[in-house]
Amino acid sequence: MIDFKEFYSEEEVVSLLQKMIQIPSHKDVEDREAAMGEFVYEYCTGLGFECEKVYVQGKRFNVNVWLRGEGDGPTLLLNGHMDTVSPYDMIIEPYEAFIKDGYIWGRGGNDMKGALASMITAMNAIKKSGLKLKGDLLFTAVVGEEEESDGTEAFVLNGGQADGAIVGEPSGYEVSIGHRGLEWIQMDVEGITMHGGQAHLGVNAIQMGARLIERIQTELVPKINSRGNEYMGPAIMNYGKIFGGDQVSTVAGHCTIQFDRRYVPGETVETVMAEYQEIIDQLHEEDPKFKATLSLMPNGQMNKLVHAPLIPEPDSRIVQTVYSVLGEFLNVEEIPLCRTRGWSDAGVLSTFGKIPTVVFGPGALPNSHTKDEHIAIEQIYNFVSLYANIAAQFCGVAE
Amino acid sequence: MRRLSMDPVTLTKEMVAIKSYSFMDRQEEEISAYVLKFFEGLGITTWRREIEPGRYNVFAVLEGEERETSPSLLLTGHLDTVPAYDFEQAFEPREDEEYIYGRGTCDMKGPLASMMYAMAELKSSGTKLKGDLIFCGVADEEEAGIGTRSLIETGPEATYAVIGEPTDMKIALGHKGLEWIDVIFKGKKVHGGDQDNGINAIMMAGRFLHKLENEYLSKLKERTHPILGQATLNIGTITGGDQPSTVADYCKIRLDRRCLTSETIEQVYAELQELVDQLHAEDPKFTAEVRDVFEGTTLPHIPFCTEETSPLVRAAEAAVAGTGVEPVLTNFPAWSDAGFMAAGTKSQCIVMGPGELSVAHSIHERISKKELYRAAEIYKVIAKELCGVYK
Repeated sequence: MIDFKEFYSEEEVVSLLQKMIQIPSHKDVEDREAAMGEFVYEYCTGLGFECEKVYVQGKRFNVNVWLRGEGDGPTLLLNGHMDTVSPYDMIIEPYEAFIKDGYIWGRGGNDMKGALASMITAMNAIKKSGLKLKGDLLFTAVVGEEEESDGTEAFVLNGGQADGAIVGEPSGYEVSIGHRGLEWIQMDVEGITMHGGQAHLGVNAIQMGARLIERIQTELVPKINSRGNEYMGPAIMNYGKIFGGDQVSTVAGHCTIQFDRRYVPGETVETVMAEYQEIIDQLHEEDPKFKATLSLMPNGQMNKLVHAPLIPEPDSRIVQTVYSVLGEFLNVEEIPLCRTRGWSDAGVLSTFGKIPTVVFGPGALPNSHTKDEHIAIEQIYNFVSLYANIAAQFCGVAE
Repeated sequence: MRRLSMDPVTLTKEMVAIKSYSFMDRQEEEISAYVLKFFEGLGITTWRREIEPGRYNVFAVLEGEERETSPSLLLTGHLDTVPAYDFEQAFEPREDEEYIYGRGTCDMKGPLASMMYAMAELKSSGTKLKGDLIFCGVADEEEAGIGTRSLIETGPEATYAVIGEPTDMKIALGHKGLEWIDVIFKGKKVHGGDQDNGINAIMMAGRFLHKLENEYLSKLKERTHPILGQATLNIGTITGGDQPSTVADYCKIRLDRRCLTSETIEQVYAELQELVDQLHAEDPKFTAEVRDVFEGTTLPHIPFCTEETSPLVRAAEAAVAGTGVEPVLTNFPAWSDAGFMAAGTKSQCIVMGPGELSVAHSIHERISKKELYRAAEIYKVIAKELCGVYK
């Protein structure tokens, strides 16, 4: 490993993160990440980097920051989102970014302005070290990950290219090279309302909804669960919410079931939906009174793309590079892998951008979105060096 | 003192104009005062009982000449109505040749007017009865039923009772019992990605409903009663879970169960509990609680059906036939105060009143003027038959 420590300081990365926490960038802020984007753009321009703003929606933009290579080496993409969730019911001051017990406390420190600080500081450290990379190093600070992922979606739809990518979601010193795709699906079961005294003339949508659940449980779920991938576990579904009927004495005219479906490589949204549709068609055929429609829930949907899986590419250059650098850093043979990673923008880069991608960033997943969100200073400091070494190894160093 | 209305049409209109709808302040104060004045003006013994502040039952009695030894008859109905909802000018009764329109015309100030008119006619014609003929207008039928509860607890209790809910003057011998039941499923909340460690309450509800449909609803279909019809169960509402990615840790279904006289309330709950127990035995992670929605807030909603051979039924049949209409024995298709009366007193009860239940609570609520007179005539004939005419 190259020792970059003389080219950056703890104070540098800490103070950068503090400044970013101090700029609220959640969905209730006017223009959401615009002020944050402005800061990233100004900061990186100030460091002498080539920067561009790529407008995504209204005043919201991604910031691309380049460290151009001096040869024909591969391009590495570092990706992190600038938005955070709302403070909700935080029990600490969300935007003060105070330091206590070796942590920086505040909204977005862990998820994932910490990674942004480490990535920017890593680029600056490489630059200051005078090391010449062969390939390009591209850092993209994106908008909207906590909502509809329109930032990374725009990156991919605009033709964004790289030979490997790291999404810096908090993982600590373990890596995810795959995760499942995610869709929120809704089934609307339709009945015929009637006074309960004449129930036989109506169709009870709740009863029909129960039939649907039962059939899915017995026929579909075993199939779904049999599909899996060693880097992400089995395909699964979860019933999240149900509501139906208006009044206890009235035959329920509607029943809505909302669920979360995690799918693995080999499945697509189309195949996932087709399986549910088949069950619906089957039940309708058995009893024409059974009527249900299937749709993707509008919440959090991207403009064009879907929440596809992060497809594991264990032999890819990026995976091998991360393994090598992290293995050396931890001094271990076996790289700690996280196989239970939730959905992230890495799915978009991987499935639609065709970029081999890993999820690897400072912080700890359980500290995201919490009442006292915080991140260890030790991690954001070490990740500067980790990112810089990965970049050097991945892009190659010019003689 | 102002001139008192003496016909059931005017009585109905005047009572509809006095608001007594659910949740208004001192709901039955003015309407009960009106009834009180009506009977006072006729020289009929009358009184009110305040149950809660502003909530009254109003009574009147034509005392029988041989009241100690003769059967008594109670004519009763409720003073309150549902709110206007979308009914415009609901409390400004309008009429055409056939009907009076307004909130409470058929449910049930019209039927009360017929009862009051019947009493007035007996009084003014100088008819003397052997047994007591009692009138009681009760509070709060549309909500918690405090009026009938008070009537049951404090009397007077009659041998026979006619509850004047609108039946189009068909003789309703009884109705089903009514239970509102919550089945509450408890799960264990975890993130959707970690569902092996959670318990999904929606899935548990699905299992229960599946079993309910396959093993229980078919059984209920076989339970019938010649008058009351079929035992029923309606799944009214379901609600559970928070959001798609979280394993739902609760789910609640609310059931409307109408039971027959051949069933007991204990049995209704025991049968549902049995389904729960079986599912729990199959999978210990399945847990559910079966709970009475009304628990302790009202009297139990027990089914009843008066024997066709009851003198009350026979008298009603004869009285209806006397108006040139073929008497019809039927059930009342909803819960009513008659259920509380039948369960809480020794009175034999029927439900019979003018008007169509289908327009009650609607913007089309109305009552036929001709039927108001016919009902009064029938009530009068029943009273003479059951209480007996003195000399």
